Amino acid sequence: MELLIAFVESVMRVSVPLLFAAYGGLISERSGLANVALEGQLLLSAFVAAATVALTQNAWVGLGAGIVAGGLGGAVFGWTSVKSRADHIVIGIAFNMLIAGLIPTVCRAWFGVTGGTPQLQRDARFTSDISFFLAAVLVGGILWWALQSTRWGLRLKAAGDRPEALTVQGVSAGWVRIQASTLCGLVVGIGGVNLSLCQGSGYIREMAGGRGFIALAAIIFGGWRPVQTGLACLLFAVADAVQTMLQGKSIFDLAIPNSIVQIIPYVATLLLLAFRRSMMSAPSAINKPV
Amino acid sequence: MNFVTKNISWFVTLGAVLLGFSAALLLAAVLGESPSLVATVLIRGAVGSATSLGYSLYYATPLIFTGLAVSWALKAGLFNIGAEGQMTLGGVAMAAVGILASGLPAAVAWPLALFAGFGAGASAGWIVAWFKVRRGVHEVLGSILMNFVSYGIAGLFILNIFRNPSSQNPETLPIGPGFELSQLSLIGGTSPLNVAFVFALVFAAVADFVIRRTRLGMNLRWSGGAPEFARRSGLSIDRETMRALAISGGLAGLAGASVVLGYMHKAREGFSAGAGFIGIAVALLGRGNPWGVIVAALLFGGLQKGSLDLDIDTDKISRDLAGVIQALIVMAVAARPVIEAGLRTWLERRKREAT
Repeated sequence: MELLIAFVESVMRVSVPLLFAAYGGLISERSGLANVALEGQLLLSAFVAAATVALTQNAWVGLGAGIVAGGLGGAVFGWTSVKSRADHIVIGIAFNMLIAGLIPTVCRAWFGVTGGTPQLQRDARFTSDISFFLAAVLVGGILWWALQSTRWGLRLKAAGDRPEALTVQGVSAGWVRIQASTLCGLVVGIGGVNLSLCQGSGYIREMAGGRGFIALAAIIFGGWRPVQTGLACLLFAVADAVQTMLQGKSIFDLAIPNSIVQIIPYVATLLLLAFRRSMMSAPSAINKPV
Repeated sequence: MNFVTKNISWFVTLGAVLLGFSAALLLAAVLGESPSLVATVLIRGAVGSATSLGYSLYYATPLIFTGLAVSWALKAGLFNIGAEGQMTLGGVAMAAVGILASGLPAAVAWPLALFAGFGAGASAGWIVAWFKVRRGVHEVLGSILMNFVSYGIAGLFILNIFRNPSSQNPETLPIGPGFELSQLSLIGGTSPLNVAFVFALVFAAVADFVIRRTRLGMNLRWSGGAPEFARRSGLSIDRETMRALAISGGLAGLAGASVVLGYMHKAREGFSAGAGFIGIAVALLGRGNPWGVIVAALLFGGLQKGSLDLDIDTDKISRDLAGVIQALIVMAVAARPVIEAGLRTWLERRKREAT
């Protein structure tokens, strides 16, 4: 029983960055902006949050800075994707490369090392996993409601499915996408803050570990719908929690190599994607210039 | 003026490169480092001496392979971002053959190792293709996830199965002497530049020939450029997808040859050092043309070597600045059509106003 509770807690903890990244990504994807830049946005906000706390010793300032950094990253990604009329995936990969180069460069200039920010004191961090989890559920609920009941939601979906219908109405689909990408970055930013200020004690290199891509897989697995996407995140979080539990364990006195344990979440994601039942398709104008 | 209009896309590509460098130098200035120092260190580090130049060519070698790999898939309209994992698996396969059959003479040893490397990379590419064709998993997501899986499998071989117990480093046992590629000492200096560089050039030439002059290449181009037409003329797009991604993976699998067979003579954890990801930038800058890939790989190889010196010769900037430059170049190159169209309109308006 104790083991079960520990496991559920572990699932909730590891699902937080996935949930925020997936909900953010959902906003961007529904607007027709294919988003492989979630990984970079997670890293960016995780770094900025940790760096801010290292300089100010205030977790709340760090939270704000991380979210703003995520939003800025989203705005840059959205603006570049829309204005260049290029393939969003190319821009997204370049964005990830940019962040992967930018963070250690800035990190060395500010803290003298490229590996990460200094260790943060316990009272300069967030210690409640559960409030992050509840916030994620709340964001998911708002997103579910907003997508179907608000004018914002309608316009967002129109930009993703039939951008020309928006143009007829005199609304710029490109502008809707840039706004969606910015909002996406703000939401993803909370996930990034969770990584460096709650799960970790500072920023360490590549700390998102592919969560941005697993979140993208969750969106696809959930058929671009908020509730299903959230559930998919929980499913992938289970695989991650299993991985954490199995590290350093052995079966019948045979040590399981860690390299194999570590790939469990990725293999599970790939297999779940491959054998999903629902074949809900992507927004029809996804990755098409407007 | 006419010359500019005609070659506008080359000018814009060149402009993208210059833009990437200038923006990065500006960033250096913002962070409190002298841009002229950074530029000097980069150039001196890349081509300052025979040894530096040798290192630049050595770093360019895997980039030619991964750049070719990504370009090959791009020809078929597919985006293989799994080159990093495929290169890792390929290098581990080369090391595995070199350890298991360490007594083989050179004449059969290294061809066998290259074959194993190609096979391992191709298998990884094929898996991504299978998930795409049979199960509808987009190749971008499939290949990213396969990267992580490949690291794990490589780790199993490097840290468990073939681990060198007497070494402090996470690395395999050494390969047999027949597998070691000979050094290239043409340009002098003491760099790890080896025959794999020549292999890379040969593969680029072969890839160029195959793409332009053979049926395999024609099918590849059709399936990417005109899928509907290809389908109606009896081509199976699914089969072309499988083939394109497998060959792309195989080319990436060869990228480890220079490091594993030519320099380390063993596989060490993380030996790919991001060459698979830089290969994406190489392919996009080289515009899918094998000769363009070579030029882009030489540029980025030099940049990689030059940026290593930033760690030592500057106080505030690190080698990671190279990544910033590459990313900015990719963004600018991706926006090329829009920039080109804008430039054309501007040039024409100026011409009209002049007359």
